[in-house]
Amino acid sequence: MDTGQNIESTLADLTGLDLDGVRGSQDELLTDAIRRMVSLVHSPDHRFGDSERRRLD
Amino acid sequence: MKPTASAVRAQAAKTAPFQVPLHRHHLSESDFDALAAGIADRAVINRLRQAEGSYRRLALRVVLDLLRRDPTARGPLRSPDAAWDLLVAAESKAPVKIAGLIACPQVGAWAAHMLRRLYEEVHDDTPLWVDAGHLHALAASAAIQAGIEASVPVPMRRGAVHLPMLGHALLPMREQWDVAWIHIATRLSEPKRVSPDPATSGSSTELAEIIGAKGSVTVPAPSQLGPRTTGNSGSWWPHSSVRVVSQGASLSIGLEDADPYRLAGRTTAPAPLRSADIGRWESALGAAWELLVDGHPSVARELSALTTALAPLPRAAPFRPRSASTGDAFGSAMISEPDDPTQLASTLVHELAHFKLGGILHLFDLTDPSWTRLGYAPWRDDPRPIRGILHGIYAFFHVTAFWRRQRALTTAGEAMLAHFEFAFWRGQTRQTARLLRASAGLTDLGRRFLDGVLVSLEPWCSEPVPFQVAELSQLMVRDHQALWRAHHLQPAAALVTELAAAWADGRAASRAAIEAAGPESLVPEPAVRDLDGRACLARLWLLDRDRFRRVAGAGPAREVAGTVAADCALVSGDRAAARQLYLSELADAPEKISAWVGLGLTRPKYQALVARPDLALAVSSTVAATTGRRPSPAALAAWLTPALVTARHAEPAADESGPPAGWSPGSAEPGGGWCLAR
Repeated sequence: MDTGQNIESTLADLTGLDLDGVRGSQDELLTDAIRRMVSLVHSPDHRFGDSERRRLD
Repeated sequence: MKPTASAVRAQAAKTAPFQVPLHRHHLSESDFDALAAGIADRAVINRLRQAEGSYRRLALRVVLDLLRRDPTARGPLRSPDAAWDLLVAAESKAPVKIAGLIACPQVGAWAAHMLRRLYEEVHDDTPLWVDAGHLHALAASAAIQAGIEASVPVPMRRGAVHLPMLGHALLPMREQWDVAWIHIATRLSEPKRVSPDPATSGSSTELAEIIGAKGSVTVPAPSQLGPRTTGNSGSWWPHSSVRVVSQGASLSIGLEDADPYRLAGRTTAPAPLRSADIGRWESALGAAWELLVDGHPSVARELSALTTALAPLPRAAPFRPRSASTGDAFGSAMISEPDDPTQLASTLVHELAHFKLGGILHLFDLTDPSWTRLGYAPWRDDPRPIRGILHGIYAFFHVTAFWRRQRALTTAGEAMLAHFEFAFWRGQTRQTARLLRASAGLTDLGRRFLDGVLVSLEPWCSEPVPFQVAELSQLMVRDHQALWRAHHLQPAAALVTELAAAWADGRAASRAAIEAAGPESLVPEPAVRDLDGRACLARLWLLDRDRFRRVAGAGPAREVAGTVAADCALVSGDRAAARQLYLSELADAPEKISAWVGLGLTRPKYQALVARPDLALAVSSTVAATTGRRPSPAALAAWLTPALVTARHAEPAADESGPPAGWSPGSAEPGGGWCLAR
């Protein structure tokens, strides 16, 4: 059911930062996003699904 | 050496907290539902692309953090911060170009590879500093594109130096892994004397020089990037791209033939395309693009917005195009040279769905990362993790939509093939989506996503298709399910023993024993390939009867690997001939799985061989081992079938593509059985 709400991601919006800002930022949201990215790297499912011989599916 | 005060200040500035407050990406519920249902508008697609920009920058930041902590990653090159400094300088001068460079899919593939490598999740024979040093190659490419003078040492891999989005140099090799210097001496902003003839253009169009230990080559300015150039024992191969236009809509795609990270999961040496190769790809893409713009305009718009690169693969077997993509390299796919424009269009649509879902998965968790069960995916020969199954559902949902529309745009054999693909994939996709929807491995948002898919997909499943095509597609659905089951599932040992004893004693097979038996065990057989052989022949039968007869006459395995004459008889409707041929085959090769299943498809009274080929094969082997006499496959099938089939259903409905209904154990059991078996 659409309640008109937003679904929020843990991904920080970095589109407003230049590369120097990306390097220097210690914003908590960026830290959260890094944490999720690292957890995905360690996820066996992610590894299996994303490094396939034939297809992602 | 003690750092200077200015160096300390510069480093402090780099690591000081940045004061711009950040926000999180988000999607409205309606936009999320629209993406799930495959009806997202341009604004939503653009938001997905923007979010991917954040994800890419985040990945680069994490790589930088990790490289700073690992001194062994630097090797003979400069610090990672030196590369980042150059990227920052280039971005400040040419922000749009550098944004495009960073968004390049292969940059994402490299970053992901580095993350996995630095976290020791993958192994690579390439020295770490060579992989890590790609950051310097990225910075050098940025500097060249921005017109910044610099001298940058970069890794050289077996004589190859790759500059993302620009091209690659091949130089005489001193060592397998070496360092080359890139000297960027000419600013792009300066006026250039550009000659139409590269042979006479002279040094004024040279943009950079790449110097290895045993040779060098110049990188020409962008206006001169077209032809291949040679230098002092080296050669420069510019990055290839094609742009195709139809009815004013364009599609621009880079042809990635040299980037070391262009193929998923491994680094790869350059394989430069020849002019004729590029011409064929341009022609194929042009024809596919025309088809999509004309018949599938909304898909064409999404493709144009999201697809930026293609890594060509050699031509594959007929009806078995190879394609792959990863969420790491958003917007890029590996695709084999197509048989025809329709096949390429279908493949592009398939990969487009992967791009979109890859982007969504970078934003949200749709599956439980700790869920490790594997299950059946109708489009694969091997058991798949939940994330792969979700990807497949979304991809084949899009493929179904493509063929649904394509049915009305073609005639004769092509229309029959379109009906077949539509009927085949709508049922397979719906069934898999329903099973996964009930799985505990999905998050609430994942279930919402599948609801969106099913909202679009469900009504298509009642649309009429020609009876002959519906029947054939259903036969092929059951074929794949049965072959997968026979290869990857093992029945309970006690049940096999009991049934083998009953056979030997001349007793009936016990339905109660089958129903009381524990679930089958998933024992993946990784080497299994080409379970779609009969489906390929079915496609050929529908598309082109004359060609089918030629293929059948010459021996179908020459065209479709793994198939035999009996398969041709089966898909062309001659089940009596197919039955005799399968029985002959089994007389010579009693354990040939495809023949057991093929036999089961010829006759309702043999349906046990389709519903539980794992069980039939195991009982046959056990009887042979204990009595010294192997049962006749036909007799065993006829004996086992009544115990498996319920009184309610003799055969699944023709328009219901999915696991056979009415069979006892092993039918679709959400969260267990063979949907997502352990």
